[in-house]
Amino acid sequence: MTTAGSRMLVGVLVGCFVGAVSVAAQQQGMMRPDRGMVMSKYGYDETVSRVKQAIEGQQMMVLFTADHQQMLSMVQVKAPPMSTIEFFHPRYGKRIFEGNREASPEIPLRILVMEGDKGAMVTWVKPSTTIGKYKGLESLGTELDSTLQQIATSVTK
Amino acid sequence: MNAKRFRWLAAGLAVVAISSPAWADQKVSQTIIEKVIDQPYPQAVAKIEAAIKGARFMIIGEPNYQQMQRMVGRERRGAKAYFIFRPDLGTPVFDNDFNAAMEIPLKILIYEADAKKTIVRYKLPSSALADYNGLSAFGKDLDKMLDNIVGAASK
Repeated sequence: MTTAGSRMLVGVLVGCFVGAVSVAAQQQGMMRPDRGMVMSKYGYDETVSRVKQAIEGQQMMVLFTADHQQMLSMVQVKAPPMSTIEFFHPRYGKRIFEGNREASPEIPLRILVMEGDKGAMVTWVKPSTTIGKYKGLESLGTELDSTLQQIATSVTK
Repeated sequence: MNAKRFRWLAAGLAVVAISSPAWADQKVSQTIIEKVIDQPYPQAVAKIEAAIKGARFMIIGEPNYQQMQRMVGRERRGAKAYFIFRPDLGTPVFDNDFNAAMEIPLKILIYEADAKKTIVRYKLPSSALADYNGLSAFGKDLDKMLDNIVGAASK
């Protein structure tokens, strides 16, 4: 490889690195400490499907999916593909109703799948910052953080 | 029981009833609102559904928590949630900060307290939307809408 060729290769590699850092920085910019987010390896539809499978794999029930793109189209707004998946299991509901029923408006759990410029992404609010902030439910919040992380990670493999 | 003792007992019971937080409209926390409706659960459910639709919201989900709890062997009185949405109200959310889609749809929980009273509980939209760009005023508008819905159901 010539010196000019090497310089060009280094330049391209540096450019790729800076670009990657920039994307990561943008993603980090969207992140708040009470949030989790992963980029999916799959397209939007496949990501939604895999998240639902992963939810069921955790022995939880998908209660319903709100298709924001479809709902916004009712008022002639063009939005990117975006869905909220609501899910839960009565065994956790039992712990909440018996542990501290004030937390009841925090259920079911919610995961948002959206199509961004860089591909499909999965975001969620950490249950430790919602359910876990109620007295007596701290450990349940932490437990569910781990469950949601596992569900989300299913789209990165 | 003589008349004097009866009056003391009645006065005591009245004080307990007035001071009991369970039957008063109250804010459970900075973010959760709870209201007691002096109506049996089936009537309150019918009224809140009518109020939701009257405010032009769509009910896009209504999990029945009573049935779900039976799945894990727990008997409880009536309890369900409404997931509600109005497409035109989605526009300001997505225009200002699409990350706030996480907070949609809004949720209203309704459950049977006893044979004559029903409790409605919800998270204030203003608190849910407070940390998103440009949505704090809109959140307060949604607070009023939910207050109106629950208020209409209370009548």
